[in-house]
Amino acid sequence: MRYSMTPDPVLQTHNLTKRFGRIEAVSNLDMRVAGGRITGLLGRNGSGKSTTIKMLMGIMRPSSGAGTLLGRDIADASECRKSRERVAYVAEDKQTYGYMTVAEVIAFTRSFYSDWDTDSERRLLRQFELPLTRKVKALSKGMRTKLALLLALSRHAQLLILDEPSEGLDPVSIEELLLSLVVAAADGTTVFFSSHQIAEVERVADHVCIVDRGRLVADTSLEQIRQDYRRITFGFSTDPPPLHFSNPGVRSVHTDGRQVTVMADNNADDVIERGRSFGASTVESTPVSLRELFLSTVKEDVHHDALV
Amino acid sequence: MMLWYKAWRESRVRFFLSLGVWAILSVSLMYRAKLGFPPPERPDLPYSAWVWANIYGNMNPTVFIILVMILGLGGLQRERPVGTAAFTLSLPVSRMRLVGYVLQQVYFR
Repeated sequence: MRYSMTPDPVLQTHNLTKRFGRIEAVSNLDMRVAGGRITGLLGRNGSGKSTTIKMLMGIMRPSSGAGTLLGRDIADASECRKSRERVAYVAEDKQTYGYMTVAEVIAFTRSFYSDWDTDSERRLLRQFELPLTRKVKALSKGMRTKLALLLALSRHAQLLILDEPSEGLDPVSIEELLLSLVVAAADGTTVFFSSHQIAEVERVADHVCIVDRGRLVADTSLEQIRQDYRRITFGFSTDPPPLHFSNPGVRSVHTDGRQVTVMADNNADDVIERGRSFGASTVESTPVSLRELFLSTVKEDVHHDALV
Repeated sequence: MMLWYKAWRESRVRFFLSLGVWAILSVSLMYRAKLGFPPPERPDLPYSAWVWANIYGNMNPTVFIILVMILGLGGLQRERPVGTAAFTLSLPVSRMRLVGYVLQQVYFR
């Protein structure tokens, strides 16, 4: 996979907000996605992933805030159109025109892009076993998803944005899709995909952004999670005193009887020392999986909202 | 060119329906000409004037307006419920151009 020392952001947002009436689907989102890697946008259903992507693509106008896609302002229609020339996008619906045949949709889409790769198109047609003469409306949901993926992956786009790409696919097709994303990234395409499937993100992403209730709640690399994130469990022989972890890196503290669990994204050694100073009789430090990080982050967010 | 093709594919059923309505109106006009031309109250009325009065008089302008409205239906609002709006809007084409192709087709028809 290609990395540069200081990867330029392919997309970034600043206080990006989208309101639908009184509901704030995306709330002051500050996000920065670097080029040359695979970034997963993880979040629960309705967390604002698709709305964020639609605003970045210029499909939806932000209520407030700003953003850039490949260095171009997403609020400027003309700039946005230019950036779309270099972005391949698979929408959440994966719908293309039902009245056209597969061959017609491919020909239609091909006509808009100078970076179309006919060899990739042929290879993906064989791989996905798409019937060229069948109308799109007669395709199954999985086939329609494959067609949408073919239209995006048949190009040498600078950035590939996929909104829940595996939705509706069978396990074999999901494997093929994930492999395609890795191949695209290896060819120099930056991949940004949303998902609520933690396992998918964990398998292929280099970096993960977690959004919840329209806010960015975590932004880290998978490598950092593996290396630095720790779940530290302190055991006490009596009921533990109220613990105050002021150490940098502490994300959450949970007390359950005589056990206190601390989630730290760095400085695990300092946290362990601090816990021992409180009189902990046992200390256990284990690496944190993306699933644990996601669940703890989202639960923490819900808990915080309930307290507020 | 492909946007023309898309606009045509999306509206051709409506176009042929409108053509059918127009054909029925034309045939009925010819039939009326056989029965009622020249009108007894204006025996000196030229045939062209009678045709003009029948096309642009009575209810026909209203029919024209309805046909134009039927031909103009569609566009992005129609794509939203079927889920293709995001695909269309993600193309490197301005919204003005997308709407322009639909309006151009209506105009030429």
